[in-house]
Amino acid sequence: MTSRRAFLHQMLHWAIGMPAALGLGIIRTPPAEAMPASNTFILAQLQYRGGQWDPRPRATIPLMQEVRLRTSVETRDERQVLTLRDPALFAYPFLYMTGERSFEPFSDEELEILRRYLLFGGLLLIDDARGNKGRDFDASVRQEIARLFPDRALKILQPEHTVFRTFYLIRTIGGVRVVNPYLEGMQVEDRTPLIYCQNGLGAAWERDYLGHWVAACAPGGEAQRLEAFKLGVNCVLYALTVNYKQDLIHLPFIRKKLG
Amino acid sequence: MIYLPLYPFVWHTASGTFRSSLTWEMTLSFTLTLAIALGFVLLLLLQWRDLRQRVARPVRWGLCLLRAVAYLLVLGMLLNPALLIQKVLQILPPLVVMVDTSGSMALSEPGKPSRLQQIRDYLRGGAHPTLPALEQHYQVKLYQFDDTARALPAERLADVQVGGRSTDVLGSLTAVLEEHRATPPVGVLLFSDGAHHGSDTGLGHLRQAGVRVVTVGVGTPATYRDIRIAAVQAPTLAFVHYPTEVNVTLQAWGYRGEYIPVMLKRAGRVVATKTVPVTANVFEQQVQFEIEPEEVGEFTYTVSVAPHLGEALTENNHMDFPLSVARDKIRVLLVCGSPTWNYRFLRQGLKQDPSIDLISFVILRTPTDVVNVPESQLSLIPFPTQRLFTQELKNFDLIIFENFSYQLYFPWYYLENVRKYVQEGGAFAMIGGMLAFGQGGYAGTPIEEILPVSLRSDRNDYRPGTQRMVLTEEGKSHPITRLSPDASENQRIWDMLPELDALNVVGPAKPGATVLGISSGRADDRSAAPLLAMQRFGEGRTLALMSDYVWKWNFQMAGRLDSNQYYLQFVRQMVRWLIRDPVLKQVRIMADASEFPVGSEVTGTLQVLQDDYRPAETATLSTKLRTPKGTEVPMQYVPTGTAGEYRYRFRADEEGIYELDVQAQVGGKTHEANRLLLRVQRPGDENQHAAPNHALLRDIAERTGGTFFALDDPARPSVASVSEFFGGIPSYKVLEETRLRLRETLPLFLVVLGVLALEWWWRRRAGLL
Repeated sequence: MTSRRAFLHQMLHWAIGMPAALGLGIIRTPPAEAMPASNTFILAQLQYRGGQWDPRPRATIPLMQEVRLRTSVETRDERQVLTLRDPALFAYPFLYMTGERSFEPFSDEELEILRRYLLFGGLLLIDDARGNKGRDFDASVRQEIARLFPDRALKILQPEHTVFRTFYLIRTIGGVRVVNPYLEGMQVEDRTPLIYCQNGLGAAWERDYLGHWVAACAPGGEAQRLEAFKLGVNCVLYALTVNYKQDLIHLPFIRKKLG
Repeated sequence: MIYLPLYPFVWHTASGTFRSSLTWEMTLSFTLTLAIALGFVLLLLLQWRDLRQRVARPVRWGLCLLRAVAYLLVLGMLLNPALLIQKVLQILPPLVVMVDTSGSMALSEPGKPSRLQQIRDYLRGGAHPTLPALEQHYQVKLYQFDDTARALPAERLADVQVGGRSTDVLGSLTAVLEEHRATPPVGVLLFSDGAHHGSDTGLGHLRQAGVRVVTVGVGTPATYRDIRIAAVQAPTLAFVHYPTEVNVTLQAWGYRGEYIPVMLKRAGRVVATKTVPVTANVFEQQVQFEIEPEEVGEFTYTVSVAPHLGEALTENNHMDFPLSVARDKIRVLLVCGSPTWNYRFLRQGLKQDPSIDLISFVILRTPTDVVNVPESQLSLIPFPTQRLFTQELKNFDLIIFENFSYQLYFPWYYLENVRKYVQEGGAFAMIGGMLAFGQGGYAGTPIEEILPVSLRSDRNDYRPGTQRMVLTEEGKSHPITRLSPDASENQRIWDMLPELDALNVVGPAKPGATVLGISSGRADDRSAAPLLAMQRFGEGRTLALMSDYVWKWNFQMAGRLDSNQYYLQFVRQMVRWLIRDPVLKQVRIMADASEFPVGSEVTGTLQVLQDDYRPAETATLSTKLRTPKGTEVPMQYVPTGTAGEYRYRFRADEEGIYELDVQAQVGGKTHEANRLLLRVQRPGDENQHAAPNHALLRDIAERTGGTFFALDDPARPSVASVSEFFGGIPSYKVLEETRLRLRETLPLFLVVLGVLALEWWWRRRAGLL
């Protein structure tokens, strides 16, 4: 599939070449450039045992398209599905995990791999597709996080956290529903390698094959959906830039925009 | 036996000194002797009573007295008296005299001889020299001292010279007292100016020695004049553009009311001056300077005060100190065309290094990206290209373009500024990606000129493909790619690092460049493409890393339960080499010590490395040695037998800081070592601090029960007073002994007989017989 940039470049060539071609009576064929995939961002989704690891198979495609459309990051639409034991896991430093039901606990070996993944630079975005607090997927997630980092706790991310300003300046948390008006995260030194949202981001992102939104966002409607996309874009950029937006040079601008 | 000496029965003859004493060698027991004595008393009483009625009182007294004498004599004979006559050697009590012969004793006040000469005159000169007078009563033990004490034959007192480099009054006194522990002297007579440079810890223990010390002060504190730079406290390391404090201790004697300018100089040029008002006759004050070095290097600073009229010493008017100025944090500018994993882990590697100050700009949105919210809802900031690439360039130590194409953001002539920045000593690195090298539009620009590789003109140089980086021969020992000092371990590490998934195919390496790593794959059916290359450009250095998948050396290595430290080490070493970290210089000078005494031989080692950091087999060295006075002198060096290593030596006859520069010609290129500053100083403080310190001498006297007087005091005590103060009685050594038992001698017997006969005669006269 041709990337959006390649398409635009081609359009540009045609726009420049066409009048000349008409003037000279020659139709110039645009060059057959094949832009290879470079260091393209590929979202990896975690497959686990039990529960339902993939309630919304097409949810990440619109997110990748959104990232590609709005930012300078090249993305691939298709996700990469991996388990924690997959040897290729560390080729994908961004991991997306979603579900609706409770799932089978990770083995000790899987926990160790995941811990290593997060401590050495990976990021895990957990998206509760059902939103039942204290039950189902949420209960399993909290249990596994407690096993993952016994000496740390999930904490609410404050409004000034970097993830809320890596690209968009986010003041509200979107999703298909508003279970929590906040994100939770696990802090390791100066990073937050684990982010947890219970608002059903995937459901807000998902389109069907005809391009229609699959689920309605309530109560905020499309504005709430936009916030879900903004949060998704920010999470991707947070994984790629970490605390870049905490550099001193950014702070005056951000403070001014936030008022 | 009871011994009863009869002092002062000592007499001197031509044949020697004799002493007599009386002893009682009792042969009867004490009880029996007492009984006999009581019996004699009883008899005497009976006689007294008997004579009371018969004779007149005077006669009675006379007769009883004679009887009593007789009884006493008999009793005495019963006690067996003996007269002991000894030929003895009279031993006078020892008296220690200590004379300070340190360097400060050569000083003199106007119109007076030197301090040492004043002592000589007191001890040996004049109508009533002190030393002979003392020798009549004492066994005088003469010592000279400076930093140690040693015996001085009396006949050498006139010839002894000053020479001690420092003075340890307390240490010398303690040592002498310890030497005489078995036979303590009656006292110590100590002559000194009190200019003590040793420790004060012995002061508290002097009393325990139990010996009185009379201290005699020479020199006149009230008229002593001197200005001294006593101490300079400065860090040995400072940072460019960072204020550094230098604290100077200024001392002055005899300049009360005057203003003293204190100067701080560097290479003879005055950097700062402070004027200090002197408010007391004995004055000390801290003077603070703040300097802000402007360039990196090794420098010699001097704190000095101009010599003033009447100063006793001028050698202590200045003090040199070395200052090494380094850059503080390494300032790195990282410009990234698009956030990728390569950026993410490179940023982590740079941020984790506490010596790096990172400024990074990442293009989060390009002009072709579609905005769906107002700008006020985006956290984006302007990219200050004009300021960065015109004004601020020189403030960075290293500029990295990581997957960044300049074309959408600033005009190409900013690249000329980057070229000039590197030419003048800056560092530049380009890291690959879709927006780097040829695809970034850098062909034919000043950036291509500074890169160690040429670029393809077709702008189509990005090639996906799996490959490893294989070290070249140069890469195996280069500081950037040497991840282990052990060659085989280094190779093992590089073989272990994950493969890279893309490569920027560039042209060949430039003639002066060094390729450290090549691709294991084959691009465009050509020979192995360079993956990592570097070169020196002008005064600066540049590096090209032709892949944007190096991040896998970090995260994927971590995933293999191995270490990501090799990646971090690689980043660290890459930065250090680019900014010409002094640790990585190819010529190094090392000294065998940090300080050397004046007149000693200064030695050390020179090390010369090739461009690949292996020891240079052949090199042409040139050395420049500058003395503290600024003259250049030759310096010898010889190869040690180890490749690239030389030993140097030179004699340091001047006090101060020597500057040593070394250049080496290796493979047609000239390399310089960091200048080495060597401190040479005169051990001891005599030429630094010579103020008379009579307070210390008084303190010593008080603690030991002695007394103090100044030598030039008109009311100073006489020798007789001093002797009387010390006291002391001679002791005697017995050479021969003669014992005379008196009861075995005729005279005593005759005396007893005579007394009895006298009594008999008186009794007859009195008509009692």
